[in-house]
Amino acid sequence: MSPRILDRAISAWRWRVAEARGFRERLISDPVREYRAWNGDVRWRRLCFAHDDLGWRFVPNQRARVFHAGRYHVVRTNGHGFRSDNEFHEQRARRRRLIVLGDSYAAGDGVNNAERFSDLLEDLLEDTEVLNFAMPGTGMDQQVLIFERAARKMDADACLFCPADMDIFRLAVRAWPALEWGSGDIRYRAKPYFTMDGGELRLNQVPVPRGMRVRSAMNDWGEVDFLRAKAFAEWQAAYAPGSGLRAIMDALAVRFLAAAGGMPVFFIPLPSPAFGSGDWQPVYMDAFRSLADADRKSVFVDVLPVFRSLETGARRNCYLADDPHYSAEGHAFVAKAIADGVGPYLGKPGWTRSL
Amino acid sequence: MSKATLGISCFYHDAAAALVVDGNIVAAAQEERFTRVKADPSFPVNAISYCLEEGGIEAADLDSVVFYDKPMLTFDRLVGTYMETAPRGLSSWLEAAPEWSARKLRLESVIRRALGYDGKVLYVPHHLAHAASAYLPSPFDEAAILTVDGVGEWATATLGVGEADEVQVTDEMHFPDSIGLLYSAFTYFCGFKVNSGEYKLMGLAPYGRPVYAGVIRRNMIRERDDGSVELNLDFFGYLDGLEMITGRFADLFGGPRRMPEARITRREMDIARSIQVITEDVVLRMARELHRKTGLSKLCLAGGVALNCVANGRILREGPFERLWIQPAAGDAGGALGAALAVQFGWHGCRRPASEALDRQRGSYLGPAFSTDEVVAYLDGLGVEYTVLPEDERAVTVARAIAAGGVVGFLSGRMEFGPRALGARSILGDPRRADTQSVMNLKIKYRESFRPFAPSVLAERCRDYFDLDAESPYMLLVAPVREDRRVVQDDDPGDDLIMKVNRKRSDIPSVTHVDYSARVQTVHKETNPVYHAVLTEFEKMTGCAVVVNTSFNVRGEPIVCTPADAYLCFMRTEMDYLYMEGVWLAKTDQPVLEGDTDWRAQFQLD
Repeated sequence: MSPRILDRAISAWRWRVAEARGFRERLISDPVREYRAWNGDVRWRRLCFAHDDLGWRFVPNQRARVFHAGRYHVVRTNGHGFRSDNEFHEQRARRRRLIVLGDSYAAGDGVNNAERFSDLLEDLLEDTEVLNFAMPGTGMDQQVLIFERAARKMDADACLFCPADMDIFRLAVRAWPALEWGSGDIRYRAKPYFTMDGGELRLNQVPVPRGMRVRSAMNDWGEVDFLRAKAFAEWQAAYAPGSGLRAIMDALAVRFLAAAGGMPVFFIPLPSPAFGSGDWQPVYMDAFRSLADADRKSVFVDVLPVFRSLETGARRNCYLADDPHYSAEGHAFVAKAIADGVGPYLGKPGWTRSL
Repeated sequence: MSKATLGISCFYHDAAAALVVDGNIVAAAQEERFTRVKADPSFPVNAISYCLEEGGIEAADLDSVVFYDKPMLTFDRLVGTYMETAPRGLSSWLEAAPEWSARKLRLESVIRRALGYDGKVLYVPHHLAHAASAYLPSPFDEAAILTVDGVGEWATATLGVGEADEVQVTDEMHFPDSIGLLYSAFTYFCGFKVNSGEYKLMGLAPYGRPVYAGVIRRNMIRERDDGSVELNLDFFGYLDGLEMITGRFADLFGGPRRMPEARITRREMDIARSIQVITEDVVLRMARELHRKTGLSKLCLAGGVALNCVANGRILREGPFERLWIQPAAGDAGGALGAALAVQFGWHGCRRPASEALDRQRGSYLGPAFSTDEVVAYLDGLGVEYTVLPEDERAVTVARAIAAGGVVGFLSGRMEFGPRALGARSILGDPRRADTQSVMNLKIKYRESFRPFAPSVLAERCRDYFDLDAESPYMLLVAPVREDRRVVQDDDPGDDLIMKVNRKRSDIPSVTHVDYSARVQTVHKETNPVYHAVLTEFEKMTGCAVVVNTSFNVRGEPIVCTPADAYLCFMRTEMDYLYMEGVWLAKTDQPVLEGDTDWRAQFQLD
């Protein structure tokens, strides 16, 4: 009997025995898959901790190997509690310096630090240091607060404001899901949020309450359908001029630009799969494009064309399998698009300092 | 050029992974600590991930992955045994065959898939892995090696030699003759769980008398002068059945086995003592034979039987060797480390690094550590009360709480590799108090009251308390409490176990066993300065350089790994304080854990 036939015979027998004895699950021969199938995403490292002003921050000086979307990646944070291999010093060295704000797309969920577009930009833009202040799970509200409380004091040449397209929905919520350490259960933690009060932004829930809550006991933390996929009409409604969320977003942009002083700002919305790999009209685009103002040195950079220029399969490869975040390939494309959009302004007289 | 080897043990019991780079042990951990399943045998997904995290490398960077056993040889034994006993072993065969077919005979593809790895996959014989784990991390440059366990492939015990970077196995004793399986059979008969209850049997032994030793010797075992044994298989069921013993076994001891959790009677105490004496005698003869063959003055030990610290103590006191080193993860978990070390030196040609303060095992603190920031991150998520202690107040605070009679959960530094808590994941108490043993057993560990606790003693003060002329950093040696510290008992409490336990036997009663012995851990500043500082402060306050050290878990639970595990264990028991990397929590400040009433169902009693 040839080894192949023998192998098939053994395999068939194995299945029969297994089925008969009711332990088919034992025959899954990929231990990682098997483990996750039974245990979910169990981690022994905590990535974030509660923060009075911002809702949460990365645990400082962390080095965690995290299983995410079918692969391991390493999350390394610095002493300031941001995801970076390097410490952030307030004074820049003899290099141009860019600040990146954003959520998990910019923070690099699912990929190693060095694979993120922020880190790749350092190679694409000559003599440039990129300080990544992105924080997973945040909305534009928290991203502005991170800028005000942590990033603004850095001696930088420009700020890349890179929220994901869905971050506008996060302006409406008062809590965000987080993985409970050890058990792998989802809990919720509070976040700061803004409301419009007489045409003015009002910051609420600061200091942010500590502790996590289960879904059934959210109480004043409100609704919990944060992660539900949104229908196209909901995107349209959210970004429509005059909508409640759009009003907060616009007011936040004004507040952010004021905080940035004269620093050039690049608004770079990052497309999730709904827009990046699908065919939906990018309804978020106008809202960000309207923030561009050459006099104020605010620029809109569109990275969507780089996705749209790819074939369907290549577009999908820009995202992780079964997960909406960018793959390493996706980050590389985004980095290229940003470098193309931002590069011409670096060193431009009146925009950034010359080295 | 740097060489990295990942060692793996799994699919039998106590899965583990170890990472060795250029001959240096970088990381090692048991899977149970992550999955919270005691002695978890499954593929060590988490332990591997931890090792790679600690090493700062990915699977693709590994030069080799090694398994601690040769599955084909083990399969050969199984098939041979089933054929020998056919058709009686059919049910056992049907139980085992699918697992073999799906995984154990396809290990290479399982490893490659799990790791996404396409480099070398190697296999090291089971007992060679044990031998390597015993000698290569030891402080010796030349030593005799003795490995004794239940069975690995065909071997049940081996003699060998380690010299410079090489390990050689010279003699083997073969299945089914096994002193490890014999001990496990008695563990089962006395109502404890095989592969985890053996240390309970050892703890029970001093309460009994060796009245059954003659019966066992006459009927079950033939002992030879060279230390080898031959078992009478009429009494053992592990060849062809799913049970350790046959009906004849029970007949010999006047009735059926003790059921788990049933009352322990004089019979179990005497059986425990009897088999303990026989085991010690056999192991001692093996050691003498090994010494006769090698003429070496140092001995390295590994294999599950090497966790029998009473036997180890006898080898040290009565054996021919001057010095002894025992692998702290002597069981199958340590096989992962041994296999990785064997490949590093035997395959990649690495050189052994210079021995550190005590040895090359780094105090066995080879698991994950958690920063104060991580602890705080977790506690803030819970919204509970805690204090971050200034660095110079940490040891004093812990020592003061213990001196005041408090019981302290202690999480500090890298987690231990091996079954013993060595002051990284420990529960600490005051050894001077007579009630500490029963309080800790019944209210904190929720375990059998007879089980003794171990002392941690400042290494430099060890001889003031114990008749021990050696270092014992891994709690693997039993030594007598010094006579001048003992309280002599004139009356006999009879068969009442509780009465026996609660009698004050010395000025450190909580760690003095019924026979005035103690399972000693010497604490060294070089390997665990934080724990050493706690003991130093405790001695300053009380004049006593000893604390009670028991593993940070409840019965049936793996030792805690993360701050989350530690906090849960703290809250579920009557511990008074919890110390985690400089963070201090008092039980009185904590809210009640809501919805946690059935937590005991999570852990299967061992």
